[in-house]
Amino acid sequence: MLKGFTVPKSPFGQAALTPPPPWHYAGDAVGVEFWTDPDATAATLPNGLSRDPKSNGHAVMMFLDWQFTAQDDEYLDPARYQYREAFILVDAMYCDVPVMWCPYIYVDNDAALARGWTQGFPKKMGSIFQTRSYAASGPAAAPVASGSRFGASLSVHGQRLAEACVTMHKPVENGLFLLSRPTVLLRYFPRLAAGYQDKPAVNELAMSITDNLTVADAWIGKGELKFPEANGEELDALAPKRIESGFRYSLSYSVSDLKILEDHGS
Amino acid sequence: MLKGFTAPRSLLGAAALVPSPPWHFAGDVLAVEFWNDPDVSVHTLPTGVELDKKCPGHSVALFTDYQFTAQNNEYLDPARYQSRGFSVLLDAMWKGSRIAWCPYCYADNDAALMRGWIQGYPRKFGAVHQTRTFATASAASAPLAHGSRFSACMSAHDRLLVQARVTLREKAERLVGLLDRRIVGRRYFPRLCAGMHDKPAVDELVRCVSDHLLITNIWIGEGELNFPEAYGEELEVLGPLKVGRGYRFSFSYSVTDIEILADLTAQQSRLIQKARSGLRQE
Repeated sequence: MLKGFTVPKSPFGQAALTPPPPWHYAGDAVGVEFWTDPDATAATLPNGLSRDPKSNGHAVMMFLDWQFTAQDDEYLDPARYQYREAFILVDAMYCDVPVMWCPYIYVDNDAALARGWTQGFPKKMGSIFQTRSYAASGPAAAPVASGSRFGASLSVHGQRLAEACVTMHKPVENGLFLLSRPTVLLRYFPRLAAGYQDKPAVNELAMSITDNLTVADAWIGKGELKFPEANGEELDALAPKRIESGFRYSLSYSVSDLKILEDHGS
Repeated sequence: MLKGFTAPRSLLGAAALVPSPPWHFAGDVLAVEFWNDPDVSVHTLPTGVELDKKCPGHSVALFTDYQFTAQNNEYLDPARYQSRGFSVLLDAMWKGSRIAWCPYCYADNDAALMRGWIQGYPRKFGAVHQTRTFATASAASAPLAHGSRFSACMSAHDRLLVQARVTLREKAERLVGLLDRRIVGRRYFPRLCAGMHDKPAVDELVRCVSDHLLITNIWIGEGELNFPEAYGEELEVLGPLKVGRGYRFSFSYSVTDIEILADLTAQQSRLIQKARSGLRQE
């Protein structure tokens, strides 16, 4: 009997790309809240989601520096279980529930790719960096303090896709204000059998369930964000028209479940 | 209406990880045949697949260095569509027909990872390298000639998993005893809903369908191979007890279809039904 939550399934279950849930995450986030072309965000929505008439065109671009663990001290294997991530969330409605939809997301690690596909995050590989904050002060330390600046970037296959910079102005009490809407995702896995290539084996609209979401050291300030045009990508269609704010915080949460909203499978 | 053969589906369909089939591949292969412990390798087989009793433990370690294209000149975007891969193939049987089972597979590119999952290859990320041959004669050019040596290695997350070397001895017309079996894989996609973590949404045993397979510039010689032990992997238990011939060749083929041998989720639900009706009868 082969074991493993994902492929490759193996005799001991050690070879699988990712261990089974519960999954626990801790990390730092740099992000920019902005407004883009409402027709462009609407064009990214899957069946089942509609525009949010109150905030159509509202989006958040996030850069994350993550550490992961499951039940086996995975966080002590940093080569395999630390990773960096960049994604965009756009405002949408599921029936009468305000949600955020994730049209594009990038990570630099295969275990994160597999967990993402399982959740419905359409992850691709990218090269992602963000300025870090260090405890010993100095010109390179980037303290968590007023006036500090944090840069972030995303590139894919040798092309720059996103560049951001956040200048911190003031701490915020409720760092969760930007995560108040649940994230909706599309679990999608195609068939390859001839005649069925447009009839996916899995096509489910899903809502992510995050347990014990905690935010610390949240700061808000000025944001700058650019999406250069790149071959084989459509992120630049969501380029900012107006920037609302920039922010930085630390966060942690756990995942052990997923809510399936609609099964569009054939 | 979102477009794209895979996620991410988008307005123009340009963002998808992989374009729609037909898929076309061309590349170079370094391969080493070997024998592992059949009492160990049998444990990597899924339900319904058996080892080939005529050649117990016979396996192939396959390094590929290839270029991909679909319908849109993808081969002109080398950053995205060139890839290097490593696979292990075990000689096996499915209902009386000779097959090669792929327990482990690695690639260095995200499009290749997704194509692999769709085809039933359980791909993970690996850094894969192999000696290349160049046209100009030099100590560095590794010509296709008697005595030439080619090396390959694969590592994942900075741990070395495979090392191989092939010393070319003779040119051959055909690949004798190598890749003469259709590859069988397992399309597997889990559920994340609580209580369903062991009930995958997709669990199919599949046999790859390769069109227009062309193999050329075949050289056969001696092989060397080892699988160092590494945390988070189970490759080393399939390591060689004996190493056979080494091969170096070029290949091309196309993919437009796949053959589904068995739906293992249906077997799972039939077993559950059977267990339930058994309980009722009791």
